[in-house]
This record gives sequence, structure tokens and C-alpha cells, in this order.
Amino acid sequence: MQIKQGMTLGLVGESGCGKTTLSKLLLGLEPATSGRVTFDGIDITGWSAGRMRPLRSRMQLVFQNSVATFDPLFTIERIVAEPLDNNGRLSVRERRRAVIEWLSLVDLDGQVLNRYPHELSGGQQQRVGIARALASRPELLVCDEPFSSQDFMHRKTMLQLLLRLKRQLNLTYLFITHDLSLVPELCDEVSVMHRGKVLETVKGDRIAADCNHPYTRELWNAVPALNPRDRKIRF
Amino acid sequence: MHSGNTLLSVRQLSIEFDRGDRTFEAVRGISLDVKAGSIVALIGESGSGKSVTAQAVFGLLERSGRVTAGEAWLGDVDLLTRKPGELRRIRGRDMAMIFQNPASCLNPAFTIGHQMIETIVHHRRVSRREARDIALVQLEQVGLAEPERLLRRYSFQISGGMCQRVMIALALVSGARLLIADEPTTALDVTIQAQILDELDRLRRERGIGILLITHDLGVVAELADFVYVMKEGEIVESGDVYDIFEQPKHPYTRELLDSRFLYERSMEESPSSDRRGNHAARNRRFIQDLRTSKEVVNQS
Amino acid sequence: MKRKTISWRAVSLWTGGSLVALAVCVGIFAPYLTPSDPLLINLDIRLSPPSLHYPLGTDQMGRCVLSRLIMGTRTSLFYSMLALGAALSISVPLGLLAGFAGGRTDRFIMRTIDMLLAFPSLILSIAITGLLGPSLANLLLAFVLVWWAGYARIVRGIVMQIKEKDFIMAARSSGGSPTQIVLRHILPNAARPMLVLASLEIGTIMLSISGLSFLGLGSQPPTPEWGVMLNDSRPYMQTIPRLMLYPGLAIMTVTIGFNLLGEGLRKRDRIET
Repeated sequence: MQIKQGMTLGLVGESGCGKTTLSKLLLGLEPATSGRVTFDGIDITGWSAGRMRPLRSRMQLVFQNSVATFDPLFTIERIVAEPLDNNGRLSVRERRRAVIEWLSLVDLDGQVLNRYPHELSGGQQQRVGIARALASRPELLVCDEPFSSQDFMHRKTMLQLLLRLKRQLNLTYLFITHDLSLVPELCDEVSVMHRGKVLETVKGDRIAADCNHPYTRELWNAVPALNPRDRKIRF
Repeated sequence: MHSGNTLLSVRQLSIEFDRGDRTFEAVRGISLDVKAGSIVALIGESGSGKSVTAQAVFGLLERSGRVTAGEAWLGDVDLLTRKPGELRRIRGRDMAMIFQNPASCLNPAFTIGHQMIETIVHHRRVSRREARDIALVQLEQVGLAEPERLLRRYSFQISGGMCQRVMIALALVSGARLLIADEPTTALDVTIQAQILDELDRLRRERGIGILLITHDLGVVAELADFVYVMKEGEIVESGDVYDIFEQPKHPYTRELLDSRFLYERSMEESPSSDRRGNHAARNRRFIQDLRTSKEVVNQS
Repeated sequence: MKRKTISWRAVSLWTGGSLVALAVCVGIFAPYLTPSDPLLINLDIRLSPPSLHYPLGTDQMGRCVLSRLIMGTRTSLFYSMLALGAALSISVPLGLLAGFAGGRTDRFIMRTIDMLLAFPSLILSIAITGLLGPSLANLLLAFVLVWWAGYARIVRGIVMQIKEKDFIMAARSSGGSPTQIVLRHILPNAARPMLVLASLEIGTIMLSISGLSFLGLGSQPPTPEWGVMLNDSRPYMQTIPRLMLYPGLAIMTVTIGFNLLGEGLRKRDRIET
């Protein structure tokens, strides 16, 4: 599997097929038993946590349940500033300015700075999660089922935000999801995973036409129609 | 299929919640009908009051919430005026509900069989042996293979999709005519979701069960619903046949909601097949003809 | 339902809190509160009933019982806290280390703790005090040596629980070093449950110190200490039960106070996280 710079790769499959494990493996949060992981041409397979640390800022995770990834004792300012604090000291004012900048990038204003994560709405929490990920100035953003159980309207806003950020910051995305319905619009390429194996990788907008594997087809057929005229046959 | 008689009729329902010292009107005078053998979708964003409506009808409102006005007729019974005890009997007998997280609705301390048999014995007043047979039949009817083995398992040993099927089977052992499904597939994988949707569709066709489907997933609505109510901030802003709603939405909010299916803006006249979704639509175009014929078949029945 | 739980929690928290606060104040200002010298022996008025001058009467040596109780608060509280503090200063770092590092470090620390915990703690403290000679200082030492193990084990449990939380993974993926993660995330988040446990524990410690003093292993007469007072009044249990009643009540009140406080904090903790 390969992700080229500036592209969006979708990784789809049912729950339990190893998508999340794969993403952790990429980020060096879990060891590989065999095979190789390279990032920007560097082989990072089996790197120790200490060696990975400088590289880690270049790839970041956006989590599914963002509120669980915030330390409940931290204010929003401290949460977003954490990656900054890890790499050297900033003055209080510089730090605050940087945090406000990252927050404004995800359409949040400075009012949330001194709030605690549980005081924010779900949408705001997710924005904070993205802001924190961005604060380490990553090149690769791994989004693990980012908005799968959300309203269509909310999901749309968030995905549009991510697409805008991608253009603004020249990011590369790995989207992990079990929902294929957005693949054609969102992903340049999509890899289909089943039982821990990547079955095939096809162009996102050609998924229905070009897929060879029956499993891909099965997945694609399971996606609900978006219009009642396109209802699938059942009977 | 729209000719069934009205099963559930909600009239001018209003619900209030206590939030600290203020009250907050979650639902304001909504009315809706569910006919036997039809699937009625209540859609809207989270916080629009759709789940609260379902809870009120089912008699499961939280304590801080109360119905301030309205009626909910199930046959000739106004559910909102019944005492908790009576309501419990009606819940077991005439209506059932399934939820987003099926696994958390089953008790992990008991086997599936134990829970099903308890429920059946309670509602049908039959012996345990008979109850077991009924359970086996029900599980088979919701498409679960090897029901014998399943009865001996615990909820944490089976998948989410299986859990949801068990919940549907449990909901049906009582012979309910009305099924309220609150985001029944939101927590499931697409492949499993498709199977559960099939299952719900079959129930309505084969058993004439009326289903009130609460969801935010427009795909589920497009696949399954006959009639749609669009809810926003506690009010129903638009209602109509699913085809009308998807093809000629009148209210701007409905239009906005439908637009949110796609990331890129497009006008409503343009069919979703015109650009990147081309292949999806091409595949489906084949089906449309078949669909129409099959619809006719159903209409006749 | 919800409202009820909150009020219960508040009752528990405030009752416990005020009892503890009262005890602490009495302990701090003890010398100013005593109506007469707690150590002054006056055999002429031994075992006299309550009077204006001796509100709770006098003991077998003619000392003012109220004054001794008040001074005893100081001894009991102060030494329990000292013991707790010392035990914490061993157990918290070791528990953090074991819980966070895992692997061999964890196994080594845990086996040591298991070994210590294999002995019944009370017997072990008695044995150590017996070996070192009965005195309050030795008793405290014995206590710390025995108590840290159980506490470290609990700290380890708390740490391991927090370590699994998603925000720790988030902190790791944003490039935090292990030390940063422990100091910034784990310790502050563990602090509250540890505090709750400590406040539950201190009641037990106080009870045990009084208990061991009662057995003659801790503070020695004439030090005003509740356990010692209990022991001293033992011969008069049948004739003048109030002599045992007062220190007994004092121990009970403060223990209950700490338990309520801990309970109140625990419930609050659960609701907030």
C-alpha cells in the first residue's frame, strides 16, 4: 500500500478487519511482525518510541471519539498547545497566539480557550481534535472513522473543512472508514481491506467500475442508495 | 402498500424538558401517522427532537421530560394517558422498540436464550419449553442461522449485527404490530446495515408491521422508507412520500438536508449520477426498471 | 433520580468535610482550647464526675478528660497524617513507575509488594514495633513499612487504567516523552482518585494507631492519645463507662468524618469523569 504526497487514500473494510491496527502501525504505536513501513523514503519499521518521536509530528491522527482523546483536566488551550509544548518552550503570549491561530483555522474562535473539553459540543470537540493534530505541523493526517456516526449535515461540514485544510496546508490524508458512500467524492484512491489483508487498490471515482474483487463489490452494493429511485433490489 | 390502515397516530404532541431551572420545548405540536405495513421515517439532525418523540410514544421519556400536550393513538388506545403498568403491557404486546446499540440492550450476565425465554414466558404465559421453541422460530425468521447454538451464547460473544437481529426477534416475539426503530443501523458496518435493512423491509412486507424509523441517515431513508417526516428544532417542517421528498423538496431545510448527501454542491435537478457518482448510478439504473416492476407486485398484494 | 444522587453526595461531602475540618482545627489549636493542663495529675479529684471545671470529668489520675481528648486529637491526627504522607511518598512513585513502565520493572516491584502483602499487615506492624521497641516513632515506622505496599498496588492500578485512555495515546502521538506524559497527564489525573483513597485510608490508619497504642505498642502514657486513653480506662469499663466512651466516640467521629469525606469525593469524581 502506498500513499503519495498530497493525495487522499481511503482505507475501507468492515470493523475488525485490521484497519485501525494498520493505522497504529503506521504511526509506530504498535509493532509490526513482518514487512516494512517507510515514511518519506525512510524505513521506520520497528523503530523504538524514542526514535519515532521526531517523526511522529509529521503524521498525526484524528480520532473517531475526540473527547476521549482530551485530558479532562486540560483546558482547550493546553490541549491544542500540547504538541507545541513538547517541542520547546514558547512564551505565554506566543503560545496563546499560536493556539488561536490553529483554532481559527478550524473555524473556532478564541472564546473556547479556557473551556474544558466536556463543555464543548461534539462538533467543537472534533474541531479541537483537528486543531491539535495540525499544531504538530503534520504532512500526513490519518483520520480513523472521523465522522461515521454523525448527521449528514455535520459530516459534510467537517469533511469540507478537512478538504479545505488539505488544500491550505498541502496535507496528505489517509481516511479509514467502513462507509464507502463518500469514497467517490473524497478519495483519490481507495484500498479495500478484508481479514487483515489489502485486497485491492482502485481509483476512488472508479470504485464501482474498476473493482475486481467480489468483496469490494459486495461492500459497494451494501452502500445505501442516496435516492429512492436507486433502491436496490431485495425480495 | 400505502393502503394499510393507520396503526399509530400522533396528534399535536409537545414535549418539554427541565434544564436546571429553565424548561426547554423539545417537541412542538407534531403530528404523524404510521400505517400498517409501511415504513415511516422521521428524519432530522441530532437534537431535532426525533428520538424524544419516539421515546414519548413508547413511554420511555427521561424523568426530566414530560408530554405537555397531544395524543398518541395506537389503535383505540391513547398511549399518553395510560398508566405505567398498562403501558408496560402494551409495550410487550402491541409495540416494540429497537435501539442504536443493541449490545447494550442485552444483559451480558445471561445467555441470549435465557433472556428471550424470560421475555416470552412473561408476555405469552407459556411454559419454558414452549417459549424456547418460539424463540428458535423467531431467531430463524430474522435470518439467524443455528439458532440452537445462539441461544446458549452471551451478547458479548456475538457481533453487533447479530445482536440487532436478536433484538428484532425479541421485539417480535410478542407479536407487535408497531416497531419503533431508533437509529437501528447507525452503529453497524455497511454490509451488516444492508442485511438489517432487508430484514426490516421483510417484516413490513410479510407481517404487515408498521415501522417508525428514526434516523439521520438519508441513505437508510432512501432505501427503506415509504413516507418521510422532516423534523427541525422540534417541529415537522415537511412531510410527504419518499419520492416527493427526495425529488421535489419544498422546504429549504429539506433541501439543505438532501444536499448534505454530497460533498460537492450540485443543483437538485441534476441527478446524482451526473458526475463522480456516475458509476453508482449506472449500476443502479439497471435496477430501476426491476424496481418499478417489483413495486407493482407489492402494490397489488 | 439524578437529583437525589447529587444531594447525597453533597451531604456526605459536607458532613465529612466539616467533621474533618473541625478535627483538624481542634488539633491545631489544641493548646488554646484545653480548659486545663492535660498532663496535670491531681489524685485528690481522681475519677470525678463532670463538673463546671472538668466538663467531662477526670480520669484515674485526676486529669481533665476533655483536655486530654483535645490534645489527643492533635497526636492522633498529626501522626496518622505523618504516616500516610510517608507511605505515600514511597508508594506513589513506585506505583507510577510500575504502572507506567510495565514489563520487568513492574514485575519486580509487584513481586516485592506481593511478598509484603502476604503477611497480615496488623501482625506485621506489631512484629516490627515489638522488634524495635514500643514507641510512637517506631510504630509509625512499622506502619509506613507495611502500608506503602497496598497503596502502591492501588496507585499502579489507577495508573494502568489511565494509561489505556485515548488521550494518552493522543499525547504519545503528538510527540510527548514518557516523563512529560507521566507528569502532565497521568499524575494529575491519578491525583483525585489517590486523594479519595487517601482520605478513606487515613481513617483506618488512625484507628490502627489508636488500636496499637491501646495494646501498648504505640504512644506511651502519659501522652494524651485516644488509644492510650482507652487502654487507661479499661479497668473502669464496668464502673465508669464514660471514660471509655469519650475517646471511643472521638475515634469513631473522626474515622466516620474521613470516610464520609472520601465517599463524597469519590462520588463527585465518578460524576465528573
